[in-house]
Parts: sequence; structure tokens; C-alpha cells
Amino acid sequence: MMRDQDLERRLSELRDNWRVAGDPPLDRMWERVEAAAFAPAPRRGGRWIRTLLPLAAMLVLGFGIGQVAPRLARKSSAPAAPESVARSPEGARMRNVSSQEVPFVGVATDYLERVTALLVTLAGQSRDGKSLEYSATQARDLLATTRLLMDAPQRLDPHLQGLLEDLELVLAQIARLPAKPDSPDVYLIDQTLDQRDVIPRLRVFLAENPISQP
Amino acid sequence: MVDDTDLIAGARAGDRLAARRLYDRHAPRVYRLIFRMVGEESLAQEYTQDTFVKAFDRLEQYRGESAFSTWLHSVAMSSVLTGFRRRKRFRSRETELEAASSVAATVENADPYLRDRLTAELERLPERLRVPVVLHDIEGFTHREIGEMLNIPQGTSKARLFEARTRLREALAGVATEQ
Repeated sequence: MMRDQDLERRLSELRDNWRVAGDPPLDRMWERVEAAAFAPAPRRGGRWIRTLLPLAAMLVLGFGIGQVAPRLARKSSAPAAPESVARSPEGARMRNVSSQEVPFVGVATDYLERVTALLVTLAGQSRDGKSLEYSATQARDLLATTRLLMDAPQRLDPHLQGLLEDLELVLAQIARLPAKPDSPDVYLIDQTLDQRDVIPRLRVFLAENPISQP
Repeated sequence: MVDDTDLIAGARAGDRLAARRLYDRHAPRVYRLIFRMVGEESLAQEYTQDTFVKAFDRLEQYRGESAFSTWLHSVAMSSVLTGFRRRKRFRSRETELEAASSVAATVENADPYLRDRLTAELERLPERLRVPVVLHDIEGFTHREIGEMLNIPQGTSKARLFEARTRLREALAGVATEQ
């Protein structure tokens, strides 16, 4: 097998001949940057509140389902996941996880419930104008757990792996939030959650793997 | 020469000229780094623009604890990773359809040259492993800088690089003995 030094040398050789960029069109790119960065600021806080509150309500519902479902409907019809996600291949794959990796999924489910609780708390703090410091601290703790799960020796279901990668980004954003509740960065978290369908995927995982104890 | 600190102060105060000078100073390096990650000019331009829009938007957060370029690169990496994941979602079904034929195609089209195989295997690595290789082994960033850019501990950066190199060496084992 190739020695590590040889691989390192081969990789360093790529510096000069792999994906070497030409000169970027700086002026043209600046026009868009200037227009977007120095335009009159939109009322971002308003959008955050409008979009996250329904999501938070959805999360509470999903959280509740995750706690109660195993006792009420263990063998009956599956708890309500968003229809579009439940029908998707992603939803189907998530359903298979618990039968294969129950102990690990139990840890993952517990972790995902804590993330869910954090997002709900964050939404409330932002809405009520309270300091976000507590959420940032919680996010730092959960970020460490996320990375432990991602680096776990078990081969992760690719959809759980994808969810963990997205949550890593969301938690890193929350961990970096300044304490003030009207921070524009809250808008970015909202955007990340929205663009990556994090909330529906969280709900599906919690609904399909309801292992944790109340 | 005006240093970054003065330009940052100007940009924070809404001085577009200062912002433009900051952009001119750092955009070429940011663009080259992003291009290395994405390999497409149009995407590299888009993510570079995103990087600077976000950077100017978040400039209040930069507290001078690390070099401005390091902070800017962390914003750039965030833009790239966000873009990767967004694109991956759109492409996932397409990829699943292609997966069945990929093994045969790989063998049939295998490039006999190590460099080409190396870049092919590099591009095949999962994002969380590929990024540290590109940043460390190709771009020459330290684990401390990579940790700051990706918001991960240095140890995680080292562990991911180790895993990535192991996978690359395994993937290239046959090719290397042919050389």
C-alpha cells in the first residue's frame, strides 16, 4: 500500500495542477455583493418570529409524539410525519434504523430530543426578547455530542448522518449567537433550518424512533 | 498601506469604499479556495459573493481574535458547505439512479495514472473528509486554522484527515503497485 509520505507528496503536488482558478471577475461580483450587503436592511427579526413560531409548535408536537407514541401506538399506524417526508425514500429509510441499531439509535434519539428542546427554547427566547446566552451554552454542549455521534464507530444510516451534519451547522450557528435576541444571525439559523428541511427530518426521526423514556 | 483593522472599522460604519478595498484585498484568495472546493467557476463566483455578503452582514461579530483572513475563510467554508448540502439534496435522487451502474463504469473508465485516480478518489470522499484534505494537504492550512474555519476542534480535524488519508491509500493501493 502507498506510504503516507508518498500520499502527502502526491496531494501537495495537486496544489499547482488541480482545480487551479483563473482570475475572478471581481468587479462583476462586487456589484452583487454591494447590492446585497449595503441595501436597506430588511426587518429580519420579524421574519424569524413569523417562520420559527409555527416550526416551534410543530416541534413540540413532534416531541410529544416521540415521548408518547411507543406506549400508545407501538404496533399501530405510524405517528403523523409530514406527508411529503413520510412518503419520501428518506422517510422509508429512517423507519428502518431502529430495527438495526437500537442501542445507538436510542442515544441518537435522546440527543435529537435535546436538540428539539433547544430549538423550541430558542424560538421562545427570541420571541420574548430574552437573552440567548443559555441557548448558546446548550448548543455548545450539543455540538460536542453531535461530533461524537458523527465519529462513532457504528456505520450510520446515511440519512441520520446527513441530519447530524446539518444539525452540526445549526448548533454551531446557535453557539456563536451573541446574547442579544434581535441578532440578525437568528435569521440565518431560521434560513438554515428552512433550506435544509431540518424540522421535518427531526420530526420523522423522533416519530419513527421513539425510544427515550420520559 | 491601510491595514485590515481600519478597513473593517470603515466597512462597519457603512463606508462602501473601505468595504470595496477589503473585498479587493481578500476576494481573490477566497475565490481560489472556494474554486478548489467546488471546481466550477460559476459556483465559485456565487459562493464567493455569498461569503462577502455574509461577512459584511456579520462584521460586528469579528472581534480580532484571529486574523481577518481566517475569519473570512470560516465564512467562506460555511457558504461552501451550505451550498454543497443544498445541491446534494437536489441531486440525491439522480445519484441513487446512477449508483447501480457506477461500479462497472469505474472499472471500465479507470484512469491508469495515479494523479487522475487520486483526484477521482479525492472527489469521491465524503465532504467531511474531503474538506480537511483539501485545506491541509493541498492548501497548506494548519489544523488550528482548519479548526477555526470549520468550527471543529483541532483533534477532529486531525482525525478526519487521518481517516481520509487511510481511505485514499486503500483506494489507491492497486494503482500504486502498478506504478
